[in-house]
Amino acid sequence: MSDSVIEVASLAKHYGDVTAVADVSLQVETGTIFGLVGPNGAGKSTTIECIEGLRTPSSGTVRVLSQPPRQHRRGLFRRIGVLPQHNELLPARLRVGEAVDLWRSFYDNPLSKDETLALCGLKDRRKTRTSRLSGGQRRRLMIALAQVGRPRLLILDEPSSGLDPVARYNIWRNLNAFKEQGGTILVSTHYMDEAEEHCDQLCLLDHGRIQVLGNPRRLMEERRMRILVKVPHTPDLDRDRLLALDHAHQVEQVENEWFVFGATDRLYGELKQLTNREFLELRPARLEDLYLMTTGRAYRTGVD
Amino acid sequence: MNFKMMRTLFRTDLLIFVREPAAAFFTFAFPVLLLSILGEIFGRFPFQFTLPDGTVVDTTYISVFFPGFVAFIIANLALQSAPIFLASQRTTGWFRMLQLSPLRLSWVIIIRVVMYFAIFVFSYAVMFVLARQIFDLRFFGQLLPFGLALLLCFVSFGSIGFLLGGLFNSASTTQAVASIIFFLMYFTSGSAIPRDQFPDWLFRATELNPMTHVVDLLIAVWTGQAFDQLWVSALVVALVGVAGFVLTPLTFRWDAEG
Repeated sequence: MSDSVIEVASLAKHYGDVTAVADVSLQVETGTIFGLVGPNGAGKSTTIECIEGLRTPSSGTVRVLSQPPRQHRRGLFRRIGVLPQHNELLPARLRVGEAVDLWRSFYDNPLSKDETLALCGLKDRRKTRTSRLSGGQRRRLMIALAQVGRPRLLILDEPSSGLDPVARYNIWRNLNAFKEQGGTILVSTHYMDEAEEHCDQLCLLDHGRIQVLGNPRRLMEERRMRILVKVPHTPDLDRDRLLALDHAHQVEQVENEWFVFGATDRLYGELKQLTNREFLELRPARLEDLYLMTTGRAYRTGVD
Repeated sequence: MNFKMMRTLFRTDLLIFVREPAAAFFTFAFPVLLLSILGEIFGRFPFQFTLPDGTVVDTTYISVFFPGFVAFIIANLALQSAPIFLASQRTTGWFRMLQLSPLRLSWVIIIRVVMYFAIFVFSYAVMFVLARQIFDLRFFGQLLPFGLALLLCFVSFGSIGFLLGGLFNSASTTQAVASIIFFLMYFTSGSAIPRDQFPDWLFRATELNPMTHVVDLLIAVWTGQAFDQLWVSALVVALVGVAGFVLTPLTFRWDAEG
């Protein structure tokens, strides 16, 4: 029996002549956090909405908990919790406690009202209208509503988008706790740093297509991208000269700099020697560098 | 069936509705205001009509035209409140949020209809008690036919309200179109101004207004008229309802993005 809770095969979604998602295949394994990562407009939300059954794929198949989601919407939503992308979906005049009451009424064995309010840290705001919550509080409330039915699987569309670092930290702490209790999470995000830190598997999307798929650390290791040294562009330096260095494994030109990636710190010494410079900018390679290497473009969160 | 879910959804819908100041004012306060003002101006005028058995009844204006106020409540709920509420909840994404729950979506519609019916019954009861206390309102018909006529008018116009609520993506467009339709229907139906005051051409033209037939039907059953006096209006109201029921599933959308 497969351990996959979500199976997507050759998914495509077109809107007229526009292709939002093309040939996306992925599997989300039980007990993992799977990240759909990419800039805005990459096709993350469309993929998620096809997985949730809100949109009909143009082609390809989707199975969630072994069932096609559009045919088994109610049965599936009893076992999965879903967070939509937008934060303002709750009626402005609804109070926090009333939203929790309503969501609890949908399930046979929901979390208690106190448990739900504790999960989102809003025990003392139960009489507050949702419109008066901060963005982070509203997001936490919506994630808690997704968890009211004690789901096995959470599908979260940009749970931390637009939030400050403290709110993001709190949300990820909650999600990691859910995973530790055996839950599975499919999450979309355009924050590379949190995908790298929290996801066991990720799928890097760009213009609706998969660029890379796998464990973030392993993906970086496979490409021997541990450190990045930035070398100012000079007429005598070119890609071949940089790649000829013993410890340079990947090179990409970004505006007026060469980004040189390597697996060891020795690369730094080699580059100093090659360029006759005393100091060069050095930092650990990050997931956004992988995006750069696979797409040839610097990572931007906006639509490009 | 999950009664707890239905009860909670009903309560939530009602709370959201009554906390909307414009909807609450036009649904609860405005009809009372209208009845008080128009009743004070015209309500006590003497009025004479004949029952089917030939009995001539001397009464007051409000005891005959009270159903016009009831028609106002129905039209206001069905043609203004319902479509605007539906469109705004669709565009703000509340329906999308509900789609992401195990809730059977047909219950959203059923509970919404039950809520509007409860609001209608409450508004009607308030108006009836008020008119009875202040203007000595009298009822000349029979309860069952009047109840059935009320139900027919409510269901018929309600279906048009749900049709309107699904036609446009934008809540503001829905509000504008619903308001135009409502006020046009209201002022030419005989609910605001008795149609016997209209010039002949307007009297005949306003027979095309479905709300005219709601007013005529309710007045006819309120004043105990025989079936042959009201069947045309009853048929028109029923046909409007059938049209609403046939067309609403074709236009209704849960999601503004389609």
